[in-house]
Amino acid sequence: MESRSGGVNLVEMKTFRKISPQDLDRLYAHGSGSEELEDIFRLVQNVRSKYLGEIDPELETAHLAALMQVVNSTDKGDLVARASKVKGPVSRASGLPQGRRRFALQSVFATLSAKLALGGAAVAMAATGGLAGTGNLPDQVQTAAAHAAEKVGIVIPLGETAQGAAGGVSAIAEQTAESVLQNARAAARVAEPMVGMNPDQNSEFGQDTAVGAISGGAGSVSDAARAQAEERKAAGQSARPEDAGPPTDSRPLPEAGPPAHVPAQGQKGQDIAGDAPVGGPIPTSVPGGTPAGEGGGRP
Amino acid sequence: MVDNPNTRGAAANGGGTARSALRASMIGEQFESVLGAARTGAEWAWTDLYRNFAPGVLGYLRAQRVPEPEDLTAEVFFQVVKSLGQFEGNEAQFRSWVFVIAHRKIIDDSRFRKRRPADPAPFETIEPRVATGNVEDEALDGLTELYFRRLIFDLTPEQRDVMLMRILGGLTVPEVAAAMGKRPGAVEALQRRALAQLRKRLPAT
Repeated sequence: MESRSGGVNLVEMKTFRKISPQDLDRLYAHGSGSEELEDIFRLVQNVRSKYLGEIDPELETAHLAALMQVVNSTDKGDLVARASKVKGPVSRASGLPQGRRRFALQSVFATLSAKLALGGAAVAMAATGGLAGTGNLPDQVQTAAAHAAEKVGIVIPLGETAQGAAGGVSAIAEQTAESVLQNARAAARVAEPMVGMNPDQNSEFGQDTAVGAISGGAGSVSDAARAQAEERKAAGQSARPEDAGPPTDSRPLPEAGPPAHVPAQGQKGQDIAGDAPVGGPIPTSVPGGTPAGEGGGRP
Repeated sequence: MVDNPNTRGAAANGGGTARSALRASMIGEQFESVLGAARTGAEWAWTDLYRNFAPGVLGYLRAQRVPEPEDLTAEVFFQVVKSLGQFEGNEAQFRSWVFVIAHRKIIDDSRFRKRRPADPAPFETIEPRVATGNVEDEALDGLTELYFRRLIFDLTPEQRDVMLMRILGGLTVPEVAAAMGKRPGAVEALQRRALAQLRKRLPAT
């Protein structure tokens, strides 16, 4: 009874195990010279004669014409070899190289930190309708807001009790507008190393913030300022013409965050975010080598 | 009694033609310059590449019983054009790479056909295949075709792939391994099993 493994005669298997890979290579090329393998060699030749041969000229002409259409419609830059060497199944390089990936993440986090730092102040002011910025919150709340804002480098007036109830609304408004502008510049300076923001470049942002703080989220600050100005006027205190009313510009507070496009600078040798918007998509693949990338992503 | 095609003098002239066709498919020393010219879109270079590699690809696809091997051969070369920028290597590596493409095209084609059953072919497609009148020759050809198909398709799919790439593509074991995504040791084992299986089915001479 023949011993079999998977339907194959083990004796036959042993025959072929004795044959070296080099012998088999020669067998496929021009026969091994061994009678033992002569039948295999004849089979190889017959299969070749059956399936190999010159291609029909008409078929070749049609194929070449179609091929040249594809060649001519392909960007020649795509035909030039890139860095990868295909010697076998290629492990596709995906994502950024490690160094650039690290920087890209740093940039993202730096951006987020900057947004938090700047946005924190703007959010705080927006949340309180700008009242904190103008010092018009209730005493204790105002003082608490001042202390919280101080932590991110923003200076807003303390509560009246804390600051000795000095000055009128006009003085507070003027001081507040100036302080908000200064605070915005200071915040920008804090954020600069991270996202390369230039305080001068952000002066418009700072001014918007200041105007927003004065005008208030819903006009509540302007109303409160007007009310207090009238009270003090009645009490005989001087008021600046500006106190008669808020600026007509009642633009809403700008949204928290730096301008949309901030080139990443300040770090040596890195240009990855040079063209990308801050916080925008990071390329996840690098053109690389792949064999046989036909339909479905495979060659 | 049916003549055993395997003992018919190795298809005397056919064997020599096939062997020379395989040998002629090596570009050799000129390969670097041909490949470089192909990257610039030179028609002569693409013609050279096609003439050297297309016969092996077409033969491989026919032996694998692909329904439309000529069309698939064209698609293989279209993909070669599109992916050439991702290739770098010598001629042997290029051959292996082309067969990777062909191998995967077969898989994709098979999946595509399972999803979309074919419509009946027009008569113009069938006509060249209609019997021409020489019954005996056609019978022998048909039997030869049947004989080889049975030999090849009695192998497992992986054994068949290995043998056909080696026989028709002229690939070495490492090149076949690269094309199939296997280790060379696994390819050698498949080859030996395939040879043992074929020998079992070959009539004694």
